[in-house]
Amino acid sequence: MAAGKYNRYDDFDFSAFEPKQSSYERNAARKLDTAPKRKTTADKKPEMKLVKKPKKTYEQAKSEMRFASFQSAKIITVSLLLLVMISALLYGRMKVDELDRQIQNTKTELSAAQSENVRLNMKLDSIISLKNVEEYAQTNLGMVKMESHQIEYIDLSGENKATVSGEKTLKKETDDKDSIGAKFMAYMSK
Amino acid sequence: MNSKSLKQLSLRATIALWVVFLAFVVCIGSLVRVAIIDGEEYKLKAEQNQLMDTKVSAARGTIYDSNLNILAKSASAWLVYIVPSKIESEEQRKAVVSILEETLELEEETLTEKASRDSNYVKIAGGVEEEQKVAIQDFIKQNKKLKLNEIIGIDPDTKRYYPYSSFASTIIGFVNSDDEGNAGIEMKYNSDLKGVSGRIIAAKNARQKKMASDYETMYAAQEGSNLVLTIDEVIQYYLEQSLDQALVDTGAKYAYGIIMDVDTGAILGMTSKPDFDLNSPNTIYSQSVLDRIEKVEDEEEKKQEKQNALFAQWRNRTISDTYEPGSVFKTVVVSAALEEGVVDMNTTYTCVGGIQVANNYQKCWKHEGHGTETLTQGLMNSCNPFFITIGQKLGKENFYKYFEAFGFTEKTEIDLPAEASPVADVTYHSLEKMGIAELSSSSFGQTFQVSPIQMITAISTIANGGKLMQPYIVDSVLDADGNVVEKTAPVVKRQVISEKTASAVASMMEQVVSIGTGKNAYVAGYHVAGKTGTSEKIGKKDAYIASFAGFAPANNPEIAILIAVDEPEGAHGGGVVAAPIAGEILEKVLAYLSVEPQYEDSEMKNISSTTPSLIGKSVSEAKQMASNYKVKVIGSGNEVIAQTPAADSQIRTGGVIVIYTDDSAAKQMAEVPDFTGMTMSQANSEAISCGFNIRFSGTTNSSEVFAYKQSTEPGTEAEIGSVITVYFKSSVNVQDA
Repeated sequence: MAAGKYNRYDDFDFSAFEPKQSSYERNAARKLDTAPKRKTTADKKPEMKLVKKPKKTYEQAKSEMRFASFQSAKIITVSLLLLVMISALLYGRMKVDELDRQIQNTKTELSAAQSENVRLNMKLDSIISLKNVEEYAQTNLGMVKMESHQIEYIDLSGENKATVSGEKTLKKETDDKDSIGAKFMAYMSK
Repeated sequence: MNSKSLKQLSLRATIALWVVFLAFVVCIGSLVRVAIIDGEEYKLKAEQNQLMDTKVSAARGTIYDSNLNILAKSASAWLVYIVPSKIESEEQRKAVVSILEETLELEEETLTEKASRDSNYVKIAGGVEEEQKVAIQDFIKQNKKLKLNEIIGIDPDTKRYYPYSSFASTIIGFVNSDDEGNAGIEMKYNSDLKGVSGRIIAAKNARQKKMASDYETMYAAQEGSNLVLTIDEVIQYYLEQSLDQALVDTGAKYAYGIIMDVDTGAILGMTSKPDFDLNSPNTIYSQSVLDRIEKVEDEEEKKQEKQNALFAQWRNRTISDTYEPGSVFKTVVVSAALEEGVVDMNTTYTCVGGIQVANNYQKCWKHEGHGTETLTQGLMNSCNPFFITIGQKLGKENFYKYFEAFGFTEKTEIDLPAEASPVADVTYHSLEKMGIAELSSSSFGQTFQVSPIQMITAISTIANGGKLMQPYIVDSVLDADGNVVEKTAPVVKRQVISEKTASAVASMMEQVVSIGTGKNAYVAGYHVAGKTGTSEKIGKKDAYIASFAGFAPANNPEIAILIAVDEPEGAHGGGVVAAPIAGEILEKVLAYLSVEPQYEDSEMKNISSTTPSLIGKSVSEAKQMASNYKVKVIGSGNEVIAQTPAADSQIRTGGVIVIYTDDSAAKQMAEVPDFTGMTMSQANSEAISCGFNIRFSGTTNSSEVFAYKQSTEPGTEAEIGSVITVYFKSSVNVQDA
């Protein structure tokens, strides 16, 4: 569009303002700069200059290669890490879902089991109702109702002794001591 | 680039700009419509699409008796429904009907009718148990071709279990298909029992399934409260057992009874027979009612009849029915008269068989008259002219004052639904409209009506020293963890009569049972006090209600009892029909409550002695030890290895003890004789001659008694020497109206 016109910036050398670059960066910049450069002059052919690339030393090449492999390792590591993280996240979500389903299933099973428990208990209660128990006891076992005369009351309000047979009476140690004391007193008073 | 192309370019750009602008306007417009104008609607739709709102039903509370035995409990179950509109072939219909008929035990006819309806939802059954549900699901899976999963649907539901079927059915009540109480405690305490439903709001995924719990908001269901009743399972059982028997024995239409703790007003037992199975309340159990309904031809009328029959079946007659109390009410009149000082224990009256009241001559039930009688004798004889005189001496103001004070003009406020409401000049005579005739008839318990619960509350007032209690049936409310949230405190409504009056009336009532019209309620050793009553049913000729109300022990009352037999066939007097039932129940209940019997000297002669332990003794020793009995030796051994009856059994002196001395000796059996109609001595000699022992129960302190029931059925085989309990009652001087 602007071909043939004079460009007022052509006379300036902007490179003087640019920060100094290392050879590597300059190379990289050149590599990156693939876009067609704007023609600076219309009638002037660009000056072709053969720039002799300084030969890389072995050390330089080695360090560059090391740097490049380090970079790629970094990228791979980060990608792997990302992959692992995403997988872990997905796995975790999957696991949560799985456990959630298990909880739901177990809850349903629990509720069913509880209902069954109630049902069976109620069935049991209805089988052992007073009516059935009484009927079975009287007809099948020949049992009769307990009567008040069969209850024997034990009076524990009296003295501290226990009767183990009709006539024998076991007395507590304190009673023995008392009786020894009494015997002693009786002996002394003789 | 020439100017023409530039123009074209500019036009295109302008058009494009407009198109973009218009599109932008449309977008903004839609955004405004979606976000602002119809915002709420879309928000709701989005929520419905993304969120899952599930209702969590609260478990209905459990009902316990006073010993924490379960009377009603809920558990989750299933509801089975069908979508008849999805049934496309006859094969599908048949499969649906057959599986539902088989698993749910329903009628084929009903199921076919339901499956033929043009509807998207027909409920088949609620409260379906897990086992049945699994059977239906298995059938659906096995018959995939029939696509039954689109026709049969299963939803969560709950089921209420009543383990003891008809036990205390008129008190407990039942729930409808929506789990709402429909009668009894279930209805009265519905809001406590049902709890508050909860909700789970969760995000759902594209498959409409619930997503992980991070998005879940849960409002937990508040479980229903549990109720502990004052009803004691054992006491209730004794009451129901006796009243069931009474229905059979007397051929009565209904029989009902209440047992109350006199000091607190707590109901220990309450029943209204015939009753129904709580697990199937919509079934009519009375064959005669079913026959009557069957005869009705009009469908609409039939439906109405069925509904009425169900309501009658569910009715708690002790609360909802009213009756003329008859002579039982005389206890209230005598209390009022003693309290007001218009009579004393020495007051006498001469009954000549009737009394002139205004223009009417009121006859005594004993036409020849009772002669001169004291106040106690008047009550014992249930003499109507004497009580008409007492009522007239008391005056209508005082009569009404005590009628009101004993709680007959108001509801008792018991915590049960459908209590009969007293209405002035309808169910009772108001003070303003009470004339001499009304006062006179009311004085012996006629021409007005009370409910059984009102009557037993008044009787308890006499028993507990004059305090009118508010009866109650729920003792405490427990939360889901079993902590007591609420405990019912007994409520004393008012002091009606003094303790002195109450005690005097109690001792008079004891006389009624010892030697008066209530002697058939006599229980040796327990000092029962009571009063019998007979009343003709209003609007029905020759239909009577026989009743007995009393308490025991008279010297230290613990429980009050009211028994009413509605329309008994044959004998209809309270003393003949109701009193023996009350006696039987009291004997069992007082023994259960560990009330020690205190025998009077006169009672001791009828009390059986206890058998000695003869096992291990030689035959001669055994004979010597059992010298007061008739000893029968079976076997040829020398040592007693078994005895019938066992040691410590209660038999009468002179009874039979069978001792076995040989392992090989077979137990000797004999046929049980029929003692019905025999006197005590006849029954005793008959028992001994057949080789059995006899134990007397019921009225045994009177000479004119006869046996009416025995513990072992006549004609059955029983081991000789075993004890047969024979129940006696009197038919002499037990008339009361």
